[in-house]
Amino acid sequence: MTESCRAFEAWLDQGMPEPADDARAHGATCGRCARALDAAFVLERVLGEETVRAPRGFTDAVMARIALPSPAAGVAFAPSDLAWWLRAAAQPATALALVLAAVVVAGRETITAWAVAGQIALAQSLAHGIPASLREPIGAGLGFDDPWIRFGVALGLAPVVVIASLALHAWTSRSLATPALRPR
Amino acid sequence: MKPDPGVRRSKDAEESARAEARREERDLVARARGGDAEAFRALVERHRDRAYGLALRIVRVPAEAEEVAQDAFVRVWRALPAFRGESSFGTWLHRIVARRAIDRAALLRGRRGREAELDDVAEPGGVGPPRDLESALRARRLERLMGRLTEVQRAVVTLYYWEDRSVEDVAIRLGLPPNTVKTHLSRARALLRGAWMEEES
Repeated sequence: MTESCRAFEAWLDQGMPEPADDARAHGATCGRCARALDAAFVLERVLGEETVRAPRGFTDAVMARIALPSPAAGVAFAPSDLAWWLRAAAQPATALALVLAAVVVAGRETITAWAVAGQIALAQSLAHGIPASLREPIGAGLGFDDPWIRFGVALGLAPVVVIASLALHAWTSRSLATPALRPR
Repeated sequence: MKPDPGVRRSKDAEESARAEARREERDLVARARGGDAEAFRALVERHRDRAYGLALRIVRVPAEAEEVAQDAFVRVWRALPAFRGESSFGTWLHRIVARRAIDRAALLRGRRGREAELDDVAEPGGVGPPRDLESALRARRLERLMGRLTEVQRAVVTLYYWEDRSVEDVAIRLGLPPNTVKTHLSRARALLRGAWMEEES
């Protein structure tokens, strides 16, 4: 393959843009490039043909899935010309998610106490299988009183909190949606 | 040289028909936004073949393509009240179809660990326009070779050749930078041409 052949292929790859005198001249003298040009022309033609029709009953199936007299009913909580974040904030799902999040934050002492108690119970039940020298620190709750350890645990839990928030929002959306709006 | 008056008249008529179609579509979209299901049905009828065809080219499995295209229409219906008409309805729909189809194709590929084989693939489920045997064989051969492209390349190639060969249009429809579309196109052409020639020899 010569330099001209490579330039010719690059020209084909770009969709045969004009001006193309050099490329055409090369195509007329090189058998391989002439075949490549023929293939490119055939492909250009076949790619442009629309030969597919949607299956029978496609439209009826879409309309059946919609099964809703008015799309406006789904967004009655906020006018559609508001910014997306205002519309999102106005959704009942967001409000419910915020209320649940507030409950979690307000009750964090109780929740933390449960978590620590559970962790200690788990550690103590596991401690039967580990050396005696390690039992004491595990029994003491792995140093939960140390602010750095608490900070590290909080940092590690941050992605879990984000995922849980998204799941909470999705759940509240599903719970509040009218049946016709639920994905089928 | 002066343009042929006959050709000019024909181009004017074409342009005027396009403008009329755009007006009609804007009207249908406005009515559908207000909850007119019949107007939405008309939009589905207008766009279903392209939406399904695009999904089929990308996903390559008729049943999956039908699901993707139908799901895209349902999503469009639900999101219509928020549609501001900054792009055309078709552009918006194609973007949703392409994204859903690319995701679906990637999921299927991951599930199977390979591309769908020809037996599973696109001999169109619907009734197509009448074709001679040669062009039908060529189309079938092309569909097989399309399996060598990535999902995004298939989306780019399909939209480019259906949408007046405009890189900018394809870029908008797929939400990609124009240079990325050009690169995908260039690689896809090289791959398809190479495979086509390989089969011929």
